[in-house]
Amino acid sequence: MNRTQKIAWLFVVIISLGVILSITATALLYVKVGMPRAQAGLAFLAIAAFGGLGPLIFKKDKEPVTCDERDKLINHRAALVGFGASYLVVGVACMAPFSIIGPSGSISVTWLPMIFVAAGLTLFFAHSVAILVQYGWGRKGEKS
Amino acid sequence: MNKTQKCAWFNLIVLSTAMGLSAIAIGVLYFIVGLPMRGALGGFGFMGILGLLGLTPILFRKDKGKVQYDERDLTICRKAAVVAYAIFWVLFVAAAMVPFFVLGPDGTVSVTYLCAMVLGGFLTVTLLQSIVTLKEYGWRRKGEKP
Repeated sequence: MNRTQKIAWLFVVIISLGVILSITATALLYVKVGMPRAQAGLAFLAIAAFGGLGPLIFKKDKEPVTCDERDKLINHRAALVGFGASYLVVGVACMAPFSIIGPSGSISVTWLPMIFVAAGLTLFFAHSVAILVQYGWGRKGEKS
Repeated sequence: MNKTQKCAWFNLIVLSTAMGLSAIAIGVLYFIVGLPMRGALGGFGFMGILGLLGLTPILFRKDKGKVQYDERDLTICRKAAVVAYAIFWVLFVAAAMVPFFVLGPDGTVSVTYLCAMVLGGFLTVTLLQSIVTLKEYGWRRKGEKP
């Protein structure tokens, strides 16, 4: 498994953990204390920020050649998949309030950073999954 | 000029026409006709010209019996898409965070602002993708056979 795959795995695990914990916490808090305060459960999404430590945890290989054309191609494709998925999320998140509330409605400005966070998480998650799909999800007998 | 370049030129012309006419119409309605800004924004109706972008696959069909793409074309297309989306992301973050800081957490925004974000994102991506494609290929014929 190369460095890119390891970082991708870290992102997938960390983002999944953050999303699952925040959904669970929000649901539990909703039952106990009601809606405005239940949003505190979304704080668990901050766990996803640990994904940013990936390049520090998995340092570059000391070999002279660390990536070739295939690796670049995979990374390019994965970036496009990530951008496409996040664009979709932005589109849905922006158009849903318009469809539900109507053209003369208005929403809280806090909705905007939430769209940004959702799009960012989608970008990194889709990028990582696309990398893992293209490389294969595990080792393929290569020397480590 | 290959199919990708023709598509990029077509996109660029349609986008420029739609945005130019919209800006002119809004300016005329607001400054010359004297409509209030809300009414003058009706000039955005010229954005309907963007619907012509949907004709791209019909106008620029695949040449029969010719190789359409090689690695270089694919690399150019991918590079153009990545550049376009990367710049879109920067603008999107600005569009999402600036109102939050300006209005404060208790402020509200019209839902039409969200729609404008989506439209702006689409325009940005299409425009930049076309420009980067043309820049990578060169803006005109380079002596290749038609």
